[in-house]
Amino acid sequence: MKQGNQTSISFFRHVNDSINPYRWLMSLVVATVVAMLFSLIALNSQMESDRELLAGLSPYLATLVESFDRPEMLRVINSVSEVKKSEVILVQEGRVLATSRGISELDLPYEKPISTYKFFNSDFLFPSAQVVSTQAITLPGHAIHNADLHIISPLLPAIKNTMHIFLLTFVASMVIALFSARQMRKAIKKTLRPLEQLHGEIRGLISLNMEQESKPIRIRELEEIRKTVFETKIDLENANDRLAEIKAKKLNAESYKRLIHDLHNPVAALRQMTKFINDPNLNEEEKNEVSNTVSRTAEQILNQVTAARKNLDDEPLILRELDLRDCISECVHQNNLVMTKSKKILCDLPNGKVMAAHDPALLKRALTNLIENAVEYSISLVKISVTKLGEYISIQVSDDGPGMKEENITLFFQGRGNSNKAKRQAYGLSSTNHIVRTHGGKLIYRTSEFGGANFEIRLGAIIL
Amino acid sequence: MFGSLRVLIFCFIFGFLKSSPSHCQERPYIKGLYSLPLTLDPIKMNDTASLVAGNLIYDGLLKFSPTLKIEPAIAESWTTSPDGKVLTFKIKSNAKFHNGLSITAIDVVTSLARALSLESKVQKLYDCIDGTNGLRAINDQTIQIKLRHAFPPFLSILAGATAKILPSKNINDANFFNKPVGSGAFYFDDLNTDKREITVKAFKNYYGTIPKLASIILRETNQDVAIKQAALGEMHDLANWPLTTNDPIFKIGKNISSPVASTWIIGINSTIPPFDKLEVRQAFKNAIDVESFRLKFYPDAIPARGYIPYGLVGSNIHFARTISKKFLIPKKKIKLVIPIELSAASEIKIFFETVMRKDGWNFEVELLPWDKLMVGYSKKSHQSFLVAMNMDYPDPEFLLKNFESSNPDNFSGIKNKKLDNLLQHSRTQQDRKIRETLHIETIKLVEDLALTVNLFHPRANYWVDNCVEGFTPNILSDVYIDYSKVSFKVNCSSRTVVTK
Repeated sequence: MKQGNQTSISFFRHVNDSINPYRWLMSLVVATVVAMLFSLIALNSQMESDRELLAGLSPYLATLVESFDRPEMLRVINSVSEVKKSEVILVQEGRVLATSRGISELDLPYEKPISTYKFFNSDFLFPSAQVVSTQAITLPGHAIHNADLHIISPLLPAIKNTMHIFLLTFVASMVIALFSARQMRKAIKKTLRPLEQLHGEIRGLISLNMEQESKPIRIRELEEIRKTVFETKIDLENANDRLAEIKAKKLNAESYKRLIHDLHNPVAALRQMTKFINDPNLNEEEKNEVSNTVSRTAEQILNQVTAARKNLDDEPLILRELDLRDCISECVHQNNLVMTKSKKILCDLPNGKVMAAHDPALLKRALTNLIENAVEYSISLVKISVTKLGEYISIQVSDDGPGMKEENITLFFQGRGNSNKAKRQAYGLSSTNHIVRTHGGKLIYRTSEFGGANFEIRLGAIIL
Repeated sequence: MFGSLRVLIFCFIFGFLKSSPSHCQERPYIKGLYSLPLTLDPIKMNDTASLVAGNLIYDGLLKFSPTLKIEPAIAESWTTSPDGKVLTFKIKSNAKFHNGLSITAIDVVTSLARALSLESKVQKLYDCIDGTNGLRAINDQTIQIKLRHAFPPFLSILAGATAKILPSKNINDANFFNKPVGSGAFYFDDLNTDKREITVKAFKNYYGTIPKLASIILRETNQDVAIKQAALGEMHDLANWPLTTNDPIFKIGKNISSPVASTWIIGINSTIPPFDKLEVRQAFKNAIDVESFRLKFYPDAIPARGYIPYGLVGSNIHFARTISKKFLIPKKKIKLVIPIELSAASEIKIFFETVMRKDGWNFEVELLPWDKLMVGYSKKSHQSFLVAMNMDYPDPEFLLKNFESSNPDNFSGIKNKKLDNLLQHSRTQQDRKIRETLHIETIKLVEDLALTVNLFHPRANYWVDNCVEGFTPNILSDVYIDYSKVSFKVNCSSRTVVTK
């Protein structure tokens, strides 16, 4: 996923990538430290072994030195040298008394090798890679030592052992690191589960799926976030309801204004016709006709007022941001139940949600009215389509019936047309028109593509 | 012979082009000797040249390592009885004489019996064997030696240069020692009396490591000629001469230095007046400035604390000087004999005479050829003499024995019962610490008796050619150098020029 120029990665990968370098570095450091530790132990143990050997030989060599029995000293020293694979030198008063290096060095001044480094009471010689351990040769119970015994051991075998230990430790550390990396990934994934749960919870809340029960999260901080989001959601819904209520009141007020506006002309006509009735110049027939007109007009006004009261007072507008497709589908379903086999309803609905603020009960009533009319007057086909046109949403109900005369449309919309249904149910086009207006929309009539009537409910955007 | 020469020429010509180490070893290794061997019979050997040749041709049951460790030679293994009187040896099954015969227990019995015989000049070394009956062949490969008494250094005798094993079937041949047969790493090839050379060749069926050298020529010459030949690449080994480190020859060859089990002494004959008096001997001993002598003539030698060679039991004793306060220097002449062959013999004569005469001694140094000096030594006719006392075996017994009353080689002529008793007692002891204590007591007694003026312990400087490898000296003597391990470096030319 890309955001701007940055590639976004999963939180798991982020954590994993952040830990990764340290994991390898740690393995390397651990391997090195452990190898060094083991190497030092191995080296010390070798030198300790040398020193112990020398210490063990010391009393016997001291006796030989006291006796000055060089052949025996050489035998001992050569034996030690062969076993230890080291050079052994016995020095007395600065001269070589016995050595495994060869008899040419005997009696010559002992040239002590220049120590490069002193460690563990031993001298390390570089680059010859040797370690020198020295033991004072002293007779038991004597304070003054007779000679010094030097054992010069090659470091190479120790270095080889060190390298073996290093490699073994490194490989072992790497295996452990790989295993721990795998376990760590699992642990990270497990750790991130509450976060995923929170994510799911928030998504659920946002998608308004209130049927899904929100479960508490085990991690305290995340649970607090979940609660906060949940409470925020409730607060938002409450606020939305309050806004919808206010909006509905506004729309109701506007509906009343329009009703008053619509009733102005018929009431004015009634007053004029009342004047005509009382006009002495009119004959009886004309008076009867006026009287009938007054009666009919009054009836229409009454219908309009009844419809308005039904739509506005009995069931005041309650707005909800809901998917229009649900409302339409419900209406179509109800009509399908009473449909004859010769007629069918085609629905052309978008795939995605068509969210709009509306009163589902009222809009359903208006749509049902339009669909029932269309079904009643159609020959075989009724088509219902929903489209979004910029900020508007258009719901069209078309049929292949005879259609209506356009000059009568205004009268029907104002409840002044003849409609049995309107009489019967206080519905009719004027009710539909009233409901649509209550939603701040428009009801538009035109001839349908099938030659029959086409009613379009055009709903504007209601910002809650 | 022609074949060898051809190979030699081939090596000289193509040696740098083709590496053929085995063929290049065909050139003879030439070792200088101050004399041809006086004898090739081991039981009659008493001179270094004979012992050197004998050690190449013959092997014994045992041998000395360079550090004096006793190692098996013909013997495969050996055991000693708890009382130390019976030694049992098992002979290696693959040990053969140069004539191809396998070495058997009979050969060992015969050879050691010869050492006990009257014709033997080394009989005194073997007198601890319980006569010829003390030598018994258990079977073909096993021999048992029974001693009169426990004698720990006997193993050293068997590893020494005179305890060589000869073929019993041929030993009684009249001309056996004209072309002797042994079992050593080299077999006797030729004695050229005109060229004064003995040639020995590698024994290919040797039971040990086959020698790397094809042949060795032992060439008689004197020191000056030998050095000249060495400088020309005509001699590869001057180990037979005691050279000093500052000798110019070392500029073009290897100096392989080593201590040797030897003490240079002035022997004092207590039978010739005025040395019959102890205080005279002691005064004489104290009058000689041995340290000045060492520093002047042999500076690389080790100062001598006593008679026993440095590095052996008893060599590190501190002696208190015994000077009689009422001593008057005798007017009788005292003569010191020194070998004329010494490189600085005249200077040494002047040194001693100057020092002694300054102190009022009637003193004279006489230069004598080595052979004449040795005759006088044997006859005990010298009042005092300068010699190098080499230790034949690494045990004080063999040097202290020289002062035993019954020993015909007692050059001092001293007869001291206490000393005799100490020697008798020490040689029968198996416990090394008890022997050591007795030896130290004997050494102190020898010092008190003032029978020797101990000059120094020499350090050998062996010269070998730059092309020589594997030359390892032996503390006991150059006699015991193992030439089977010596070789020529591949693609190495010996021809060099001395720049003086």
